[in-house]
Amino acid sequence: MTEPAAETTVGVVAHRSRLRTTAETVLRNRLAVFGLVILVLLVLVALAAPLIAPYTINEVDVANRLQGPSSQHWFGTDELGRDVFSRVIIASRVSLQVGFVSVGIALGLGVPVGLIAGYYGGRIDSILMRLMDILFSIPAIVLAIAILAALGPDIVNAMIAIGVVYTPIFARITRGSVLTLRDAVFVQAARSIGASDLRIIGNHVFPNVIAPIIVQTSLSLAFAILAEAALSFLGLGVQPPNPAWGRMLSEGRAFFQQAPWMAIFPGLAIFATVFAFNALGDGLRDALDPQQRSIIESRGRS
Amino acid sequence: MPEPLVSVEGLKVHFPVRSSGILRRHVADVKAVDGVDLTVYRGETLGLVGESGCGKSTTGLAILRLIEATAGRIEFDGIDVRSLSKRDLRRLRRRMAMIFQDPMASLDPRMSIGDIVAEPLVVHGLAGDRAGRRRRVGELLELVGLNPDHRNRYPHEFSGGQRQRVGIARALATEPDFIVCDEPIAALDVSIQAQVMNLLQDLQDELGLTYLFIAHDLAAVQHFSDRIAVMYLGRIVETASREELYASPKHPYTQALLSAVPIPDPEVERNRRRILLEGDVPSPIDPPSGCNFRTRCPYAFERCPVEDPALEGAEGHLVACHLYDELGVRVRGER
Amino acid sequence: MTQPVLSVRDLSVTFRTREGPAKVVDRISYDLGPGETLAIVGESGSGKSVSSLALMQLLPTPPAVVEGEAIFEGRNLLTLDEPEMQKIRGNRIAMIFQDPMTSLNPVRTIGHQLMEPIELHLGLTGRAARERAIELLHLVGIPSAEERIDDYPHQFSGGMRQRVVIAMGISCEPDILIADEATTALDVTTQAKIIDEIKGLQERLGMSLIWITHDLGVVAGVADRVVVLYAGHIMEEADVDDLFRVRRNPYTRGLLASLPVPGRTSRRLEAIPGLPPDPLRPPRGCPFSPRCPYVADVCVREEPALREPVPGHRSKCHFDPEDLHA
Repeated sequence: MTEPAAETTVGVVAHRSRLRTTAETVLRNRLAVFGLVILVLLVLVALAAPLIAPYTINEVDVANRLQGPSSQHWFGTDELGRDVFSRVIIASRVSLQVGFVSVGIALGLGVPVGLIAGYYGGRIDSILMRLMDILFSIPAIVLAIAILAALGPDIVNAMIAIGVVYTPIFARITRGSVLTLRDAVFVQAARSIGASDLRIIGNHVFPNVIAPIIVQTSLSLAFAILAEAALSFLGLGVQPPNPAWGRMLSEGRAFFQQAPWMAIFPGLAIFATVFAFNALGDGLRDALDPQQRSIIESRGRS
Repeated sequence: MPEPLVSVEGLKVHFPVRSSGILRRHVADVKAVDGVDLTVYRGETLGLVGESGCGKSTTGLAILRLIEATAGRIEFDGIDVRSLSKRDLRRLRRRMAMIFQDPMASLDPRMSIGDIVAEPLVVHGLAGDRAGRRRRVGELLELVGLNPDHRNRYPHEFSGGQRQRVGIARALATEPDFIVCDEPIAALDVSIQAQVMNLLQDLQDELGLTYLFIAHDLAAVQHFSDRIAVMYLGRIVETASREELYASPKHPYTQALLSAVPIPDPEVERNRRRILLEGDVPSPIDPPSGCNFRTRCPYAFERCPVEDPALEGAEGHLVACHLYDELGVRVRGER
Repeated sequence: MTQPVLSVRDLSVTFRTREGPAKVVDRISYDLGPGETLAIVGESGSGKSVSSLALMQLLPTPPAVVEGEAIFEGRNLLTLDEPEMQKIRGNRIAMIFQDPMTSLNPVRTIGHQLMEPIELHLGLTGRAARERAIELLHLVGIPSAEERIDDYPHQFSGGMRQRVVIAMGISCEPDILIADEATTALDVTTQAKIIDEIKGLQERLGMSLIWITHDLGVVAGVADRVVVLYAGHIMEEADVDDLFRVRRNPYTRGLLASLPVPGRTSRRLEAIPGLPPDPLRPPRGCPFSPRCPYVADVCVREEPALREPVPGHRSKCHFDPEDLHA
């Protein structure tokens, strides 16, 4: 027999709701708030991009090519005289879109795999997780390149590729959390009242694994945007003449001596976005489940 | 003779022990439950008592098929529980429920207590529509002494005793015949334990429930049960009515257990003779041959390691010990 | 009574929380005589563990604020500096806790852990320390101690582990041993053996015992005197026989009446209604008044003193037992 679990030394009844506590913890983390502010701005900019951008993306003005930042062209112009500011702003739409869609794909594939593998265990678990291990063992960019080589370079294919690459991370994190829940007494209690597996997974297991998944989603968004930049940099993602941060960076490289702004501003945009997602992700992680920290850190990869 | 509601014969639950490494070879079995026979009669409370690791909780879980048994027969109201399909088993769960030890762990922290109590109704399509369910949940909360207006609160907002009441309300939702109570008061404070035991008793009187009450606390079991089964190392060593078990325990283990229960009376404590057992409980991976209590039994003799004693006796007082004959009469004197 | 070994006076512990101060121990006073066993009994949240952790300066301050005095050999334990306190902890006053697994380091042998306090406080080294450790293991009833001394904690059963922890507790022959729910996690048959063991050691070593527990059955078996705590207050203090027989205080009465007793055949227990108070929002007047069957106007109006109408028997109640009417 154990000493009755202390009803907490302080107070028999805790009145604070979990959601409120989480929100307060996140908001007390300055870095996370900063990240959140940047992200909100980014999303607003992306949504309003066509209205904000002073020029269109393909407004060629060869006379004013490779101009430095000025009051007309805040971020300068590129080798064809296109406005870098407008292109960076427009490109934010594609970057965010790629981020959200590819992470959405990874979530949609990885979470069910993790839920099923973790809940049923045994052979199903072995097969599914070995599959994930194989995916996981190939370096992300190499795998994405291989997928794109098979499907052809295209923005939709890039999203699929990045999504597949991040699937194992979500599968593993979900499965890990499910394993600790599978034998939880309240899951057994649900079984004891005759609840079906589907109901148990949906109503009792899934809601209790959301926290680490949210954290990982935030961190993966950063990685996905970075991956898109890398693929576009290699010419495998967004196809010209559409702007993408990675592609702009790659094109700007050739002119780095004469016109460093061509690479610096898209680079800064990538940096700011990735930083913001990471800062928010860290804050969320501290608020939602501090004990998950080491697990995600050891599994995270870019 | 009252009618049996649950009868268990030769129940075994063995958990495989696998080697570490890739092959995970099956190297041994933990014989958590190793041949349990018991009968629970309609409307009674059968107490199942034993020390940690004796297999009492596993027995309870196996009867409800929340753990699959390795061997044996489990009958519930004439239905062979072990042969039921998953579907039929889910349907049968309406009639048997469970109350768990740790009231916090057994309630989903992300569900309001109203939803927790309503879940069995939803699962089995009972109490009609939303409004009907709402009414029924209110009734159930009231029945266990909770304020129905608190239905939207979450488990962490309640004290341990109140949480256990939520667990009880959930167990009652489908109007079951049979409830397995697995250490329902062990996690509660002394003054709260009495509240919960009284509630369980009132519910039994009111609803005609049948309980299997599993606990390590012999005083609580004795207070609560009509009959008591004592378990040691995966087996039942003695079964008797509560008065009989207290007045004339037969099995040497039961005697030792009774003598060790602390009594809240200094005078009694000063004058009682404790039977202190030698050594520790053997490992359930490799239990002793013959009678599994013989390694600690002060009366063990030649027959004990060679022959497994059967659980037998007369007039409902059964004992598994070679010191007694098949009618439960002592045939060997004190050492 | 002879000179007490330990005198606790007006000990209070307050935790500073986000929602305000929570006073979990409220001006408790008691004396511990030489060779005496004092049981401190209470439910969770009564302050029974916190009060003794405070004595040993083992509470994190902040958030805890400890006030009062605990006089041991003419010095106040609560104001000693850390190096002084370390000389007392484990040496003169030892503590054993509920969960032996958390008091033992899983990656070091039993011998190693036993020898540490011996080397630290008794100045024995090498072979002498090892021999002393083996002697201690024998003393607490661990068979073949010479071999087992090199085993790791996980190689022992729960009961054996608790014996090892007890051996560590008595290794320096302390003047006071504080057992905090030391047998609660054990099965009753093992508990009976461990209690026997500790009582035997107490007689041999002449130590004083503070036995902290929620189990009134254990109290009846081990204690000379009993302090009953409720919501941080001493509700009753008496000689063990008087406490169980007279039950001056309504809380003690309620607690005893709510216990199932083997052999008693009444079908209903007398439960105490309601819940213990929230330390953030203590009730006005008597802390037990919201649950007390004998509650009167005066109980909610003013806090009763811990009166001593009979010498040696204190009770925190406005009434004498013969005046209590439900």
